[in-house]
Formats: sequence, C-alpha cells, structure tokens
Amino acid sequence: MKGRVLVALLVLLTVVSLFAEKFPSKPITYVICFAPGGESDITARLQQPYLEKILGVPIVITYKEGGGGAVGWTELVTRAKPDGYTIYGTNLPHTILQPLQGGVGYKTEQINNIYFFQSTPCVLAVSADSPIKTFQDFVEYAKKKGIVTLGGSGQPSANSFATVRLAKLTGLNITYVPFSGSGTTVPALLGGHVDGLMTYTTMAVQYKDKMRVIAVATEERIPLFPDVPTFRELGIDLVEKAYRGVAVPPGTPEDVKRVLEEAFRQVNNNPEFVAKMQEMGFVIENYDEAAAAKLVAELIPYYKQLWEETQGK
Amino acid sequence: MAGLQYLAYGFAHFFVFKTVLLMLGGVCVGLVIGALPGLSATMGVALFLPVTYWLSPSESLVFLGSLYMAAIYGGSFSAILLRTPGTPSNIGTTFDGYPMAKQGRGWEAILTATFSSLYGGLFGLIMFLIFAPMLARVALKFGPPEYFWLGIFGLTVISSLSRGNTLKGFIGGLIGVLLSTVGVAPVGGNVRFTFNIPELIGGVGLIPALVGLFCIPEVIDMVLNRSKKQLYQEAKVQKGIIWKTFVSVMKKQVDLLRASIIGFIIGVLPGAGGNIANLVAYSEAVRASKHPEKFGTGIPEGVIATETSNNAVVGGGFVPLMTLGVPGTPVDAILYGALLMQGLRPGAELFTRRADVVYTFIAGVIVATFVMVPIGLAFGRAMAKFITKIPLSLLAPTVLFLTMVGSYCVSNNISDVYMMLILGVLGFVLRKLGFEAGPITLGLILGPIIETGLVQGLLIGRKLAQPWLIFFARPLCWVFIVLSVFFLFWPVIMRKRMIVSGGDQR
Amino acid sequence: MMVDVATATVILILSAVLFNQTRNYNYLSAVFPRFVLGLLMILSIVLLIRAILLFRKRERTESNFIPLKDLFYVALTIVLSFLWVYVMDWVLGFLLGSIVFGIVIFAILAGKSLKLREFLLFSLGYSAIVFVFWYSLGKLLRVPLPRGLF
Repeated sequence: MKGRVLVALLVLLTVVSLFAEKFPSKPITYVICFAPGGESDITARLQQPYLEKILGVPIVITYKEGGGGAVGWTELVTRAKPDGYTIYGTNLPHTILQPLQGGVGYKTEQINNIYFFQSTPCVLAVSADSPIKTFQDFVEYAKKKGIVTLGGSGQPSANSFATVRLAKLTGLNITYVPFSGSGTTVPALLGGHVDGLMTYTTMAVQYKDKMRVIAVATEERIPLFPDVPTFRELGIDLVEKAYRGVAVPPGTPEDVKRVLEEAFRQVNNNPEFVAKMQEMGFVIENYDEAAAAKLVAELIPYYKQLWEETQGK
Repeated sequence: MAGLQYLAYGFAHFFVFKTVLLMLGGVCVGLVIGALPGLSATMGVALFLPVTYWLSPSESLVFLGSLYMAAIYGGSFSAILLRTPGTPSNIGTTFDGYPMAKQGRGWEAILTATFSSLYGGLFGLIMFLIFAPMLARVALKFGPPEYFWLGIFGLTVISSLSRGNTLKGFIGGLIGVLLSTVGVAPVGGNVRFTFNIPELIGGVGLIPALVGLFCIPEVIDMVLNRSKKQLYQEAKVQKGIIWKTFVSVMKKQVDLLRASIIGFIIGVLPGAGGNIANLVAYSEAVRASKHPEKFGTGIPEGVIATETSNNAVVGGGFVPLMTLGVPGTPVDAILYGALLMQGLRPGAELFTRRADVVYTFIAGVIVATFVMVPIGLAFGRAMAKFITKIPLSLLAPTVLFLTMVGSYCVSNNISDVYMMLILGVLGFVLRKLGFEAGPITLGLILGPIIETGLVQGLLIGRKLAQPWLIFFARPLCWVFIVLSVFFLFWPVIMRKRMIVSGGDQR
Repeated sequence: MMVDVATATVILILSAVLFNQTRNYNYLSAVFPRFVLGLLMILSIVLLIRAILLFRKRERTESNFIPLKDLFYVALTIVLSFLWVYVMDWVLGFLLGSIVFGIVIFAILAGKSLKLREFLLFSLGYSAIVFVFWYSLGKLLRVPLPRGLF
C-alpha cells in the first residue's frame, strides 16, 4: 500500500516538474531573414528590451539572409526546431509572392505566423522640388506627358502591385521601375530619373525634407502625414501595405505559441514602443495567430491574381 | 570650409580613451579579417555590426570605419602571399603582388601596399571632407543608363587585364556575368537558372565565388606541391628597406594620384561597386605606363595602382552614404544600417545637427589609417613568416578552413560553402583551360549593375519614341561609351604602336 | 588546340541550353540573359574557329597534364572537403568537424615527410586556431555556426 502511494507521488512529482519547466526557460533566438541593419532588424532591436522583460529570458537576434528572405523562411519550415526557442521574422507580401514565383523551398501555407505587429503602407511621393503638389497635379502631369514613371522597391512587391493597381484604377499610363531595395529609389527620384516613387512610409519619413507625399494607400490617414489624403478619399480603392511579423516552425505546441503571442501583444501595447515605431514611419498592427492566418488566406488569391496579370508583360 | 573647425572638434572628441581603444580594436580586427583568405571586409563589418548596438553612434562608426579601412589594406597580404584577394577590392593586387612574392620580394610588395593604402586612404577621407556635398549632386546625375555604360566600361577593362589571351578573358567575363543572373531577376521577378534548387534562389554570392575562384585553385596547387616545404623563398629583409620603399613609392606621385582619384570617384558613385576600382585603376596604370608589358611580372606600380585606389574608395563611399543615405559600396550599406540602428538619418541634417558624429568618425578613421601602418607591417611580417614556416600539407587544410568560415559567415548559410567549393573546382579547371579568375569575378560583380542599368533604362526610356534611345541621349553616358570603346580596342592600338616603334620586347 | 575546341563546344552547348531556358521567362527577366548568352555564343564560336585554325600548328604549351598520383590526391582532397562540410553541418558541428577533417587532410598530404612530433605539434596549433574562431564567432559574435552535435 505504501509502495503504491510512493509511486503515485513520484509520478505526480515528475509530471509536475515537467510542467514546471515553463516556457521560456532559456534564451530565445529571433532570426531576421535579411541583412543586418535593415528595417526588420531595427524593429526587432526595438522590440528586444521589451520582450526580454516580458518573457524573462534573453532574446538573441541572428541573421539568415539570402534570396530576399527565402533562405531563412525555407529553414523555418524545414530545419528549425518547433520548441518555441527559435522564432523567425516574416514579411508580407514576400512570403506569399515568393512561392508564386517558384523555386523556393517553402509554401506560404507552411508558415505559422503568430503575430503581425507592424506594417509599412505604400505612399505615392514626388521630389520636394517637383511642380506636382497634389494628386490632381499628378494626374494632370501624367495625362499631359502621356506616360509617367514610378520607382519602387522590388518586383513583384507591394510597391509594384500598388503601382499596377493604381494604373488600372486610374487608367493612367504608369510604368513601374523596380529597384533593389528602397534605398536606391531615392537617388533615382532626386536625380530626376523617375517622376515619382511608390514607396513605403518609412522612406518618406527618412527623407522628409527631400520628398513630398501626395497620397497614402491605407484605410485611414496616417498620423505622421495628417494632410495627405488616402487613395480611397481620392476615389481610388487602393490599400497596399507590407506587413512584418514573427512565425514559429510548424508543429510548435499550442501553449508555447500562446505565450509568444501574448508577449508580442504586450509589446505592441506599450506606448513607449508604439511611439518609437510610429516615429520611424511604421504603422502598428495587431494580428494574432488566428487573425494573421485569416489575413494571409485573404491575401493569397489577391496577390495570385495580380501576379498572373503582370506575367503577360 | 567650416569643415576645418568641425574637424578639429572631431579630433578632440575622438581622443577619448574608449573611442581610441575601439579604433585600435577595429584596426586589429580589420587587418586580421582582411588578411586572412576567405574573410572579407563586408563580412567583417557585418559580423561586428550587432556588437556596436551597445556603443554610442560615434564609437560604433569609428570602430566599423577603422575595421573597414584596415581590412581593405590587410586584404593585400593574402593577395600578395597566397594569390588570394583578402577582399574583392584586392583582386588586382594578385596580378603583380604575387609574382613579387614568388621572386622573394614579398616583403617589398607588402611595404608598397602599405604605403599605397595609407596614401589612398587619406586621400579619400580628405576629399570626402572637402567635397562631400558638391559631389552628392553630381552623383545624383547617375541614372540607370549611366550605370549601364559604367558597367560596360568596367567589362572592357578586361582587355587590359588579360593581355595574354583577351578572347578567353572576355569569355570568362561573360561567364561571370551569366553567373550573376542566377536567382531572382531584379526586374521582372522571374526565378532564373536555378533548376528548382532552392539554395540557388539567392544567386551566386560574390564572396563565396571570389573565395572559391581564387582560393581553391591555390589550395589545389598546394596539394599538388605537398611535398615541398614552402611555396616560395622567403624574402631576405635588407636593412632600411622600409624607408627605401617608402621613398620610392612616394616618388611616384602621378601614379598615386591617378589611382586615388579613380578609387575615390568610383567610391562616390552609389552602388558602383568599389570592388571594381582596383581593377580600373590597374588597367589605367597599364595604359598610361611606358612599359605596359611589365605589368603582371611583378612590378610595384601594379601594387600601387590597386592598393591606392581601393583605400581611396573608402572615403569616396562615405560621400553618398552620409549625404544621401545611399551606400557607395556594399560595406556602406552595412554602415547605413549602423546609422539607422543608432537612430541617425543620413542626409544633410547629419552634417549639421549631428556633425559631432560625422567629424569624430572621420577623425577616427584618419587616425586609424595612420595607425594601421605599423600594426599592419608587424602583422604582415608575421604572416609572411608564418606562411613560409608551415608545411604546405598543413597550409592547405588551414586555408580550406578559412575559406569555409569566410563563405559561411556572409549569410550564415551552409549552401554558400558548397557553392564556394563547387566554384572552386570549376575555377581550377577553368584556370587550367586558360580562363583566369579575375575577369570572371569582374563579370560577376558587374553583371547586376549592367543588368539593372539596362532594364531600368529601358523602362524609363518608354517615355521616348524608342526606349533604347535613352542610352545614347545623355552626355554622361557618352563619356563612358567613349572610354569603353577606347579600352576595348586598346590592345589593338598597343600592338600597332609597338610595331611602329620597332617593338622591343616580346 | 584540341582543348580549346572542346571548351568552346561545351560553352556553346551550355549557352544554347540556357537560352532555351529563358523561353519560360517574361520579357524583362529574359532580356539580359539572352543578351549575354548571345555574346557568349558568338565569342565561343570565335574561339572554336581560332582553335581549329591553330590546330595545324600543334603547339606544345606547358604540359597541363597532372600526374595520376597527384590527381588522386587532388580528387581525394576535394571529396574530403565536401564531406567535411556535410559532416560539419549534420553530424559533428563546426568545432569538432573542422578539427577532425583538417587534421585528416593534413595527415594525408603530409604522408611520410613529417615526424610524429612535428605532426602532433602542428595539429595542436591548428586545433587552437579552429577553437579561437569557434569561440569568437560562435560565442562572442553569436553567429549561428553549423550545429551538428556541437
């Protein structure tokens, strides 16, 4: 009789100790799928101190760049351990577009996003010394010249699709000129090689004195640019953003995911953090795992259609 | 030039114990990283970037800048001693540096490289201080059509790099360009030539390719010579050779100046790839020389041209970085990230509102350029001795190890190491067939520049009646068109000239 | 020369194959590769013609032939290098893998020419270098080195 009680106690103790090993109990690696110094890196570094306080463990930021993120995301779904101690930064629409382009080692559906915490909406900008002051000016300019060029980062990307849709919705003849990375679009604009840029809010903030934003592709006006109308206000249904979030490898336990999800939610609700992000041009988003999955599911057919349309060129 | 005041202020700010220590650390780390085959400057700066997060803006920039300058200089060591460029900027140093080493004049080559780097580095930095804002405006005039022709011009330089067999040189260059197209197309977005191998989606990385094409054939040569104890005779160090070499280098003011200007200008052009500066400078030196046939046999002028220009690129690259926020070279892209990480925004306001950072930074790198001379010489001497003391049977796996580290650390990707090995074997075979690594690597570097210039230009050109007209409509383009034609036919002109003048050697 | 003829032909065939690949790409993605491939094919034809014309001369350039024994060592080193990377990545990890393979290759190449004492000394030195790298990269700089078991 005593023996059985002892055994039961032992079993109970073991089980309890297993669960007492709460997540997280060792450092978490936050992998950025791009080169150091980029926007994903900066966001992660801003989040780092808050995450460390909330989760109680060090957050180690490492990099795995290549293929515009493809290398990192392939590793995420194939080799990473699903124990919650390695999380990967993810981006939309990249993770939807890359499998469409083909040649990558992952599928959009395999990526288990647990949070999307910020976005950079597309904005239409011209050089600060350009005669174009409003969107109407832009339309007139386009009609007069017959054809107008907009620079942007990447193809396909949020920038390129925003331009394609803008052209379709306005009937203007707009040629999109892709550049590798937003950084290289700026000298092109300033040097007069392109008429304007379809770029991200972060670029517009960084080059505030050199660029003039004439429209933003969001649902509502952005606090940083209070005088700039949204495309919807101008009668054009164009909302286009690039989202950033984190994902865990497939098969990660539910409770681990909840802990991580909650941590990011708390960071996003921290007013200090929010202020810093908005100052740089980021828009705070709050998509938890369920909402993120829904968003991705909605966006997949949308981008698929756009990609197929642009393949004709 | 209010700059002088600020500069004095910058120096004052720099001479703080912690910052000086960081500068020294940066120099030492940079030298080692540059000097070791397989590890490049870009990789070094990228590796240490996260570390600087905890430093103040000036401190982090001084550290990274010193690392950068020292690495570009240090890369000459492995170029000279092992025929492997320590960084892509040292490719040209292998042409004359290595032959000098083989003749037992390795130490002289290192000394030449040292003083050239000092000159070029200072030149670039000082030019930056004086001309930065002005140059920024000129740099903006470079649009896609201009970059296209700049890239083409870069390719024509091959003609003077491969005087032995120009045809094979150009084929090699085209192979390099072709390799650069693997992966996602910059315009159009199709995934090209990956044959559904996901590892290839990032394309052929420059560093794995450089390391593979240059280093692995050397390793294979070591294997073939495994019974020999050394690659070549160790140089006898004569007394006073340091001073003698210094004087002889400084006497060649024209060569130094020409190479510095070339390096600086190429550095200023955003994204032009400071990597090609050393090759353009080399080819210019060949063209301007009275004895062009001597290049490649081991003459100091060859080393002077490459090592002066590549260090001048450093200062040049800072121009677009600081004024426009556009990186002039790959390393500048990382420095840009460093600035952003510190919450700084490159641009006019950086010079005015945060002038303290900029001038402390420049002051620090200037001091670093001086400091790297004694440290570099000591390190270079040690390395030269070390290489001749290790039996080749150990040198081979050691270099192999370094190549793996170098190609892995670029993007923490093991497939880069495989790529490096594959290209290495290919490079060995190609070399045996008469295709040198230099032109191939040049093609790899220039490919993206030419392609984006071409395709972006065609898109911009849609405004004109015929899109391709845009490539001929702008004055800057013609500068490079003329230069390209000139360089393309230079060997022919050369030969005619030699026949006319009675043609001595050959 | 025969070698050049073969080389030119190989390049020609490969270019044609790749050119065929570009038919799947849209215009903007295909423009440049086609341009390059076209040039490459032209130049390789020139090489081919030149090689054939010089065929008659039958020049004996430096003997590019590598003695079979050496070739064996080269092939072995290459194979071991690939194995090294694979084992380092999946089994032994950076530290152990590099030390093991480095020393193995050293031993093979050194053959009989080294005394045991020298060999051990050098191996120790090499291991120390590997360790320094492992420590500074992996621990100090937090680079995610290939894991394997270490």
